[in-house]
Amino acid sequence: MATLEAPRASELRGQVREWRRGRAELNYWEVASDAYIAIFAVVMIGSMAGNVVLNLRRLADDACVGSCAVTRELAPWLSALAVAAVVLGVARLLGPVFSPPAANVWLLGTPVDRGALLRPGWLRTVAFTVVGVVAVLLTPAVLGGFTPSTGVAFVVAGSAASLACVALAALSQVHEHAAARWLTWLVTGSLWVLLAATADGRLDGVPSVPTPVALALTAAGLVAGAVLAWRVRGSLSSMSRRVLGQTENLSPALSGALSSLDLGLMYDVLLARRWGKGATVTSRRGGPVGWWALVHSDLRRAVRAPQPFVVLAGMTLVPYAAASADAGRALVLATTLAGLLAGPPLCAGLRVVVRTRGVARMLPMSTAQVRGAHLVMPGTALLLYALGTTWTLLPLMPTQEAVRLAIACGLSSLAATLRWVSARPPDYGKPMVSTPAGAVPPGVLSSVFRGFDVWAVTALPLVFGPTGTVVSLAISLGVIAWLVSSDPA
Amino acid sequence: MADALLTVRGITRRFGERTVLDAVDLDVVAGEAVGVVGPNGSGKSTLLRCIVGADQPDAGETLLSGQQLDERRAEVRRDLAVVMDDIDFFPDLSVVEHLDLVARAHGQRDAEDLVDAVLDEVGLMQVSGQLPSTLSSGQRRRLALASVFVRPRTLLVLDEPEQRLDVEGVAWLGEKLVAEKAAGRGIVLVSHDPDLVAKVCDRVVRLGDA
Repeated sequence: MATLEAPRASELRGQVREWRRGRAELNYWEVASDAYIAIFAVVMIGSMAGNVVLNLRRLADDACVGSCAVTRELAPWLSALAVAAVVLGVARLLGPVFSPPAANVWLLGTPVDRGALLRPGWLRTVAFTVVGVVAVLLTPAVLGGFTPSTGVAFVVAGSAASLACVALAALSQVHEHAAARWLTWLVTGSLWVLLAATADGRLDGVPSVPTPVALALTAAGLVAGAVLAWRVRGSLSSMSRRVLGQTENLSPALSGALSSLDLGLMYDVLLARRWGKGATVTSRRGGPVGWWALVHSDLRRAVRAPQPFVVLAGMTLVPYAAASADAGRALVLATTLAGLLAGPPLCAGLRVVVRTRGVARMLPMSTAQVRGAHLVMPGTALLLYALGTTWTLLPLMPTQEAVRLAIACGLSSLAATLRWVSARPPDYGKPMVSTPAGAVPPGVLSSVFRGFDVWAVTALPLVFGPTGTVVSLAISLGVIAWLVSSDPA
Repeated sequence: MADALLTVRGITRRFGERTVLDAVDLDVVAGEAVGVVGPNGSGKSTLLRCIVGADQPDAGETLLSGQQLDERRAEVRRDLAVVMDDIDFFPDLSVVEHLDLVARAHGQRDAEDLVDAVLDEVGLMQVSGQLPSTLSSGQRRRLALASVFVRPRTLLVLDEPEQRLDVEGVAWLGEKLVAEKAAGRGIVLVSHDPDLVAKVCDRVVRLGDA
């Protein structure tokens, strides 16, 4: 084989940087101005959010007693586990080691040290994980009632644990090992068990640990996270292009969808990714004809991939945990919100007929009939989920009213889910709206809140007694009817 | 037969119940071009993907110059020039910068002269300053092919390189690949163009004839 005289990765990066510098569209003054606006916005929004959190903390200090205090004590640990589960899930989805497709084609096929090419991306992932998790865990640390020193230890330990999870996912990606999958199950299972114990009222608080032990555990977590991240750094050169290719298109596609705040497109990308991984499925044929054939296809889809329904069933614990925290009638907010969060993954079939008219055009039915058919499975699942939370309401009201309220919760989640799933992408053909961030299509910023708007108007009335239940039912049914029958054109 | 540059033994690839490649053997010696042909879905591209390490075969092995072909090794990447269908581009780098990058990444000392010569040869000199998004699909294909010729190589693995090329482009490609053979390089060519295969290939492996 030929003698190897490959340049260093840093030399190539310098070359590319030089090319790019030559076509910069902003001068230093404009960059500084943009940076100032960005920093100012972060500081302002951060201080506002911080103020809200501190006020909530004072409120909790004054008002939270009894079982509420127990749940409050457990909440930061539930949050830390949830954050670790989400971070691990996202890390496994995106790689966590990844490089863009163009770099894979043009650089990873060259003899340049692959580890050196991938290392900056890995370090960015590490930094993003640490900073992101610290930012997210600050709120539960403050609301959980920690002292400042304990709070710092909690945030550091939580961040280190998430980093360790990401690093372990990276190592199992490099070595093509199933450890990350098992770790995901372990973290998610622990979260579920802790949530179940909280909902059941079995836990009477977090076991107290002496400060030196807590500090030692935190330090051990930090060391574990750092060592694992360092080991990943050293093993990047043995990463195969095949493994990198499994996720190479995902992050550009997701970041493209995110840049236009098109959450529906993100959903489509993830859906395509989910089914793109499997080579074949066991084909099943037959079944009813006409409108029921569409419903049957959703049923078949649910049997083939029951995970979203399992997650929805697991979500039932959220309202029970809220009930154990003496949330009173306000627990319906937790019920409906959990339903909304678990709802969109149930709607894979609905999403396909909503995003384009191509499939619906092939069917001898109206748009409303097609959408209605694909709403049967998610609607049934959300109603069953909501009815499963009826027992949380029984201490507060008669059985008949509790059932009525549970049904209203289910319909609220369904309406909000339908609103989220049927979101139209931003229309770049329309006149743009001027914003400090530049020209954006109308409605693009509000698209982030789509689904949550319907949740707010249908869930909030539920808090205000039987009349609110009727109002919510009417709004939910109206929204569902309108969204099912409206023409997507 | 001379020592094989590329040795493929027993490559098997299954997708679920379906066996796409069933114990495929293939040898390519230096200065030889082997064509891989067959109908759609016969496993031609899958075979190439298994050879270059973009896919994992269920069984079998691939050797390059007698050593296990592991694309994670830099010396393998130096010898193996691949053009598959999954080509992507840096949106902010021009045509000439893409080629310059590949040439420099392979440590070519005369990168600029080499890139200019190849640009001229593939007919992209006029658009050398343009970004990939402004190129036609045929020009993009030419750019992908050009990346093979600005770098050292002992084996070319090409998946339907004639795709989207015009008649002149296909003719140029045929001449170029014949010249590559004459220079002692091995070629594995998947193609649906019988004229190109006839012009370039010394042997043809037909897949999907079971």
